[in-house]
Order: sequence, then C-alpha cells, then structure tokens
Amino acid sequence: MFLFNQLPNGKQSRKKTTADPDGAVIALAGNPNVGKSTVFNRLTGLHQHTGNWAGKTVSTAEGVFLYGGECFRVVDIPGMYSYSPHSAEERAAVEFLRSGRADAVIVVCDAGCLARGIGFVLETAELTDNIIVCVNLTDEAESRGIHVDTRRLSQMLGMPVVSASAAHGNGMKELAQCAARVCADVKSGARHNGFTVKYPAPIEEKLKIIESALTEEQSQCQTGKNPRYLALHWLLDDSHSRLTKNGDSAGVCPREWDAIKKIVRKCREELAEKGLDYEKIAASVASRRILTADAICEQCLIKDDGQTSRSELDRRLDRIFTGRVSGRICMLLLLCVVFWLTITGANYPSEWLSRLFGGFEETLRSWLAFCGIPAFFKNMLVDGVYRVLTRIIAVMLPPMAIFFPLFTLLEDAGYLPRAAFNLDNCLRRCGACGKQALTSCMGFGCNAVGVTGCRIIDSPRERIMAMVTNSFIPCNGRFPMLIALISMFFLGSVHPPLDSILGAVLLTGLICVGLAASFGVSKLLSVTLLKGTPSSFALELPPYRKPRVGSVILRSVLDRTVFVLGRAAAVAAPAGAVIWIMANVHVGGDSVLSVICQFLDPFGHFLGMDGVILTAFLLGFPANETVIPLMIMAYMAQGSMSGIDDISAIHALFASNGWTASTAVCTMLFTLMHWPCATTCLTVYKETRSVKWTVLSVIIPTFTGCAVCAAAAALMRFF
Amino acid sequence: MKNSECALCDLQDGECGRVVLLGECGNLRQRLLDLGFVEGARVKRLFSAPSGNPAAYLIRDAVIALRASDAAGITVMKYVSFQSVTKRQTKQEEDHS
Repeated sequence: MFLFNQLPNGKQSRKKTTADPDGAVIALAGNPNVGKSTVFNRLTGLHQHTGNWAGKTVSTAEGVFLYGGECFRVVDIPGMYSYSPHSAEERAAVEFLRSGRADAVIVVCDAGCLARGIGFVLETAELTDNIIVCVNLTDEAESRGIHVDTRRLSQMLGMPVVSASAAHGNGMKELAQCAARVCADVKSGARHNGFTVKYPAPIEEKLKIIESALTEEQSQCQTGKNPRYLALHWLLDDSHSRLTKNGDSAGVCPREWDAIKKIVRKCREELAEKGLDYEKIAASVASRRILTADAICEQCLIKDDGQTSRSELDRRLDRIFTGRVSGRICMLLLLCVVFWLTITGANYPSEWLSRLFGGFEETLRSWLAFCGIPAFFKNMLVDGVYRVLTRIIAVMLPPMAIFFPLFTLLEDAGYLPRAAFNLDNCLRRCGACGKQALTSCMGFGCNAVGVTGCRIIDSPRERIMAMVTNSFIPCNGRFPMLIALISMFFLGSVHPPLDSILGAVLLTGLICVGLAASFGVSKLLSVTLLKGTPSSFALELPPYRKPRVGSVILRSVLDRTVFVLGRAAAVAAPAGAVIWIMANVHVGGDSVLSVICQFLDPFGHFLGMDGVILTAFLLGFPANETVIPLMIMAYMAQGSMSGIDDISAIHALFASNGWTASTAVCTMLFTLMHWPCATTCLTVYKETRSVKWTVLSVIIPTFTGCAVCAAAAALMRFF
Repeated sequence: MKNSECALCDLQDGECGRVVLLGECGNLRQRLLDLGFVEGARVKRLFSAPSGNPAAYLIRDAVIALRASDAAGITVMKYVSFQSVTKRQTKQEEDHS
C-alpha cells in the first residue's frame, strides 16, 4: 500500500500535473492526522495513503480536480503544528506554504480538536488571506457529542468554512465549490478579509516598526509577501541561520538583510528591557493565538452532556493497549494473530497458484517451440524468467497480499502510535527516538518507505539511527521467505491447526530478534558513531477509529498485488534470466554459477549456510523477493530435478542439498539481518545525501547478520 | 482542597493541573507551545506506558505523549479533578467581571 503514489519527494506525481500549469494551486494544510490526505483523495480521486497517526504523509503529492469546467491543482502537504517546523517533513510543508506557490490554502481541522485547528488557521491567516477552512471528521465529533456551528465560525473568522467528513465523502462538493470561488476571487484580485490576531501592545508596536521597514524593502525587491507575517517571523526566529541560507523564505533581498537585522535587533533589545526576552515573546505570541482560538471555538462549539462516552471507550482501550502487562501482551498477541491469519490464509492461494503455473509451463514450452524460438532462448525464458516470476507470484505474493491489509487495518485503527508509546522507553535507553518504532512498523511494508518515513524524526542523529536500523525489520519481500522456511523445516510433524499457530509464534519470535537487533545496534551507534543524548519527543496519540474494513482490504490487496507484479516483472524477470545464463554458461567444465557458489561455499558454511544460499542473497540485492526462487533455480541447475510446484517439493529439494534445521535457522537469521535491498540503499542515500551513511547502512546489518549467523552456526554445531 | 505546584511529570495518572510555567524544555519548547502548553492551560495526565515513561497527557482535546524528562520542564498547579478546575475558573471569571 505504500510506495505507489507516494514516491519519496513526490516527483512522479508532480510530473503529471505540469500538463496544466495555469490551473490555480490549492494547498491542503493543517495539523497532523486531521485527514488532509483523505480530503485530497476525495477531491482528486487519487489513492494517497492514509493512516490514523500523525506523520503518515511525509512528502507532498499533487493532484487535479475539476469544478465548473475549470481545472484546479491540489497539493497535499505533510501535517504541521505551527510554522515553526521541527522535523524535515514539517520543514518541507512550511517552506511550501511560505513560497507562495499556493493561490489558496484549505486548512483542514479536526472537529474533535477544533481549538488547535483554529489556532493553526489564525497562524495561516498571517501568511495569506485566501483560506478555506474545512472542519473535517464532523461525524466522529458528533458521536462524541460535539457539534460545530460552521456559519458562526465563518462569520467570526471572516473566511469560508465547510463542514465535512471526508472519509464518507460528505461536504466535498461544497469544499470544491468554496475553493473554486476563492481561487476565482484571487484571480480577479478581490481580497478577502482575513482574521488578524492582536498581540500584546508592546509586541504589536515592534511588529509595526519591522513591518514598515520590510514594506520598504519589499517594494524594491517585489517578493510580494505579507509583511505582517514576515515581521513576526523575523521577530520570532531565534537563529537567522535558516533565513540567511535561503533568502526567499525571509522574503528579503540578501543585500537588505543587514538593515533589517539591525532594526529587529533593536526591537528585541527594547522588548527585553521591558522584561520580554525572546522566550517570553514566543510564549506570549503562542498563548495569545491560543486564547483567541479558544474564544472563537467557545462560541462555535455546542457540546452535549453525554459527550464523554466515546472518550471513555478510548481510555478503556488505552488501558488495555498500554497497560503494564496487558500492553506488552497485546503487542505480541496482535503480531501473532496477524501472522497466523497470514500463514493460514496464504496456504490455499499459494498451492492453487503453484498448480496453475506448473500446469501452464508445458503449454508455454510448446508454444515457444511452435513459434520457432531457439532452444537456448526457450529454456532461458521458461526455466529462467518464467519460473522465477511464477514462484514469486505463487510463494511470495499471497502472504504479502494478506499481511498488508491486516497491517493497514491496525494502522487505520490507530494502534501504531500506541506501539511506539509502549516501546519508547526501550528506545530512549538505546539513545533513539520513540518514533523509530513507527518507522520500523512502516518497514514491515517496505524498508524504503520506512526510511523515507524517518523524516518525522526531529533530531538528525536519531533519524540516521532509525534509517540504518530499519532493515532489521523484515519487509514484505522478506517475511514470506521466513514463513516458507518455517513451514518447511519446523512445522512438518505438527498437525493442523496447531501448525499455523506454532508458525505464527515462531515468526513473532523472529521479528522480536530483528527488533532486538535494531535496538542493540541503535544503542551501539548512540555510544559510538552517533553520540549524543536522546532528544525530546512529543507524540500525538489519536483517537481510535473504526477502519473501513472493506475498502481498506480491497485497496491494499490491489495495491500490493500490482506492486509485487510490477516489481517481479521489472526485477525478478531479468534476475531469472541472469541466473539461468550463469547456470548454463560453462567455464572450463563448470557453470559460472557453480564456480561462484563453490567460491562462496566455505564462507557460507562458516555462517551455517552454503554457497548457493549466499549467492542467492547476493543476486537478490535488487529485490529480496527473488532469493528463494533463485535458490531453487540454483539447486535445480546443479541437480536434475523438475516440477517443483509446492512447498513440500521445495523442502525435498533443499533437504537433498544438505539443508538441516540449523541451515534453516541460519538462513532465517540472515534473511532478517543482511544488506538492505537496492531500493532501500538508494532511498538512504536520497534521504541522507551521505555516501558514508549509505555504505554504513549496508555494512552494519551485514556485519551483524554475519556475526549472529556464525555464532548460531557454531552453537548448533556444538550441540 | 489541596493545591500545590509540581512538575508535569510528577502528576499521577488521572490527576489534573494548570500550566504555570514552561521552563527549560530544550528544542521542544516551541512545539509544546504549539500543542497548547501555555500559561493557564488545563492539562490532565491520562495514562502511562508499561514502564511508566512516557506518559500521555490530555491537552486541548488531544492526547500527547511526553517523556518524563521533557515533562519535567513544565510546572503545573495541581488540582484534584478537572471539575474543580472549571469551578475555580468560573469563579475567577465572575470575580473579574
């Protein structure tokens, strides 16, 4: 479900919309987790990923909607609490809004947490007058007994206000209409009367001084930005480092900095004389904004008496999910249940697909022969490309397509932040950020997405730590491998239905090993390469929400299937061809493949595996899904087996090549801990812009994996 | 009714308070202000993580998890319950008018 429209930095989606550069640009801004992406999806008909936690969207996405025959471009930006950004993704959002690229801004608010949303509206109003307020999640608020008087709110703010419940599509037409109207007004030059927060008199006075100085500069530089906002920004920004680096965001020409700086410094000094030092100014500005927002909300909110029932339910659930004992048990149990459902559910489609593909193989062979394709190419296509491709689809796809929707359900229900909350103490002791638990969870889907998700972590050292350790969490391409190995080697003598339960327990255990490794490596990094004290952390725990089961499952199964098929075609097919060529091109009697395997064999045995396994892992670098199919192929090329079409046949093949339970254990450990796939490495580079950390993110897990495997192999040899 | 000043992290689960001072909070200061930890704001400690740290606080209708070390920088006036805070507030407002 990740990755599709949400390519890191959203370049792909941007391309789509340059087709119509004239359309008005509307930004979707607001606090995190108020449903901006859901509104975006409703407006544009796209499928941006959504989840019930703050920080799900880390990159901007663009889409288009039509209203009244006109085309509007909508930009979904990451959520933010204010215009003082903390983390990379918030910084991107703030910069987008400041850049003035948006003609109008839709500020999405959570009706259940309206005061904070209105506070953000007020702050946005300092930047631009063209605001549409969208009070979202009204259905949820009403079930809590909170009603919002949007007409009154609109009167008080002097802005159009639309009440909506984007998840059900309510209010979207009105929102589009409002946005279109505001954009038309922008075009015709009509100004909306925004709302201005009045700050305490001494601050207002200084703001006026800076403002007038800025207006003078602006008339020369024509940056066309709201001087009041800029004045406040200059007064409040502690370090001018960011401003000096990027003159655009300060709205002042580089040559004017010194003049403005002098005025700002003087203003600050005068305020400090009155007892208003920098921190007090910031607090007083924030608190005035909050009080204004509260005062507005008080007049627009109607609260029923019976409002507490829903919150009571949330607190009761929290007591279970974060309880001293129950919290930990729930975490393991939830993982176990998800895995159990995955293992049980994946068996049938897997078998069915294997049989289907196996049956088709001969037909394909005869077709190709009929078309007069030379034997070499025919064999390469069938034995190489076709088999690797179909095995990925048969063995790897079903678990992925089942695990993913289940995980999405947990995400939508709002469980992930609770898991991060529970794990924070461990992570704090390891010198890491509690949000690392969130990015690890994203890693279950795809490590590359997990790495991109690390943008929500504020401190650079903790962010790098989370990126480097992300690959210890088996991604969707790797845990079907674990499932396959577990069911081949450890469940043989167990009868159903106990086998799938045991499988789930073993898999949960393995995941815990991976988690432990990621914690351990974090700790190690925090005392060596990434020294420092754990930074602060504030995590919002959203209300529990009932996920829309049907649409979530449908959407994520489809997404996953398309994603896996696409990747299989792009990566696995060439890999299959390459390994087939390697197995069939002979150098001095031996095939290239067996030469490599034999070369790696001693090292493989040292790690409790063999040369073929290591070769498969190496060749699986572009995509981990290919490892097991490649192993099968390599073994088959060496032997003379054919017709592998189910898991027991794979087991027989592996066993005949000297696999024991200890080989399986070492292979599973190595699956858990080895180099991240190519996409992840590339993403680490994109995110860190550092060759050093990209290389380390390969070396560290690899080294850990080798050490753990060697130790495990030695131990098992001993017993 | 017993009122006393203490650090936010010293509240017990279920206890409420009113923010008196936002002290040394490092780089989290601005974020805490944005979340609503301003002077006079009502805050309630809801529940804690299994290990007791971090804890979840109710502020401005949102649940925010803070580590003990971060919450230590916030001084609150402790109240017995939310209700008494409201009562006191209304009384103050009456006095004002």
